[in-house]
Amino acid sequence: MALVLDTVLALLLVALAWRLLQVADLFQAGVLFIVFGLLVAVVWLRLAAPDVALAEAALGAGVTGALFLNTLAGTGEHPREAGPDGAGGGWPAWLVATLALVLTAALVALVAAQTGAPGLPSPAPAAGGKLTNPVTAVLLDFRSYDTLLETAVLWIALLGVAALGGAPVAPPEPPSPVLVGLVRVAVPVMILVAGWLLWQGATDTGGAFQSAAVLAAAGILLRLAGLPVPPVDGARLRPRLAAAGTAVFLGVGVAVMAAGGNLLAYPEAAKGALVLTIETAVAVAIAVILVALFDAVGPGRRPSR
Amino acid sequence: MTLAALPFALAGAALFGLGLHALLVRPRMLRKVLAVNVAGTGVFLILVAAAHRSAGPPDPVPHALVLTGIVVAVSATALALALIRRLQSAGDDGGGD
Repeated sequence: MALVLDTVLALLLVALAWRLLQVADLFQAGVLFIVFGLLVAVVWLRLAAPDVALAEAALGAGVTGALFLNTLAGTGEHPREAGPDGAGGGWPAWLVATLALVLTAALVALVAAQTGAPGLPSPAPAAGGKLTNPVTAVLLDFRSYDTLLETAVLWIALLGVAALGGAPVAPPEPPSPVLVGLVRVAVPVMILVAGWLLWQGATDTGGAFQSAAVLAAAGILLRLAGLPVPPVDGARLRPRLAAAGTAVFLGVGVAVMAAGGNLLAYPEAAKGALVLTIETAVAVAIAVILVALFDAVGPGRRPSR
Repeated sequence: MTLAALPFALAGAALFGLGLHALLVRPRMLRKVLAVNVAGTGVFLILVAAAHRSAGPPDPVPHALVLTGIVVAVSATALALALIRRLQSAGDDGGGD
């Protein structure tokens, strides 16, 4: 029975992807993409990956969707009027279809070869200390480099966007009073939830990225309501906060070398405090970066002359 | 991979194909950004489905990889969207294209 439901969910996902890539109206495509992301989050839950589900719902569906729709608003033209969006692009249609089919078939063959493959005896390396959530343990214990570098990737994305020029300005439209009222109630709760996710991440589903996504969503809501977002609005504060995640992570990682360990090899005694310090800095930095990215693609910035 | 994860792995393969196809044939850049995201989601689905190697709890290493992947996808999407905005404003300045 569960297999039938899972199959229906999988088919729904493929149908939604087909629709969002075909529909002529790009605004509709953006909304369908958010729905698609939320459905993917349900799939992660079915696959027993709640950490990935949270990240997908907040980052994959929420932030990507917000960035896309904000870009669409920023282009300032009705999405339908931007010319035909049919087949084309200079490649023969049959060649592209064949290429996509061959690659899909190769992936199906790869998937089929995986069924019945022997499993690993113990899935996770034993997590020491206070970290009992296996995914956080893998991320910060076993693959710290990974998290450090992806914090750096987001920072570099912001540097790239900043290099394209233009300072973001406040959106000119007056916000609806209903939105402002809602935001005033919702944002403090969201900040609380973000803190809880960060703390909870050590032992259960959650962590710096999920927490950052909730904080960023609060920042974007403030932005849409025309309210100030103090950590992002300060021209001096923003770049420092954005760099702080990578800097603190790297600083702690190098400091433990002075104590005689390897890079990013935290001593057992102080592991809990060090990891919490890093996760807090990373969460705040990523939230600031995401809101700054939202500002950069939006309608607030007009072409400079 | 266990049988329960199979439908999602196959859907992942289909999403990759759909995304790749749209990336190549659709001329509008905003659509290409969506197409890359759909194709990436397909890859993530295959990875997480493959984490179910046996009946026990899933392997957390692919989960951590996919978390990283989602963050990198958001970064790349943001940069792509900013580049599209910049290209458009450059086109406006140059009298349109």
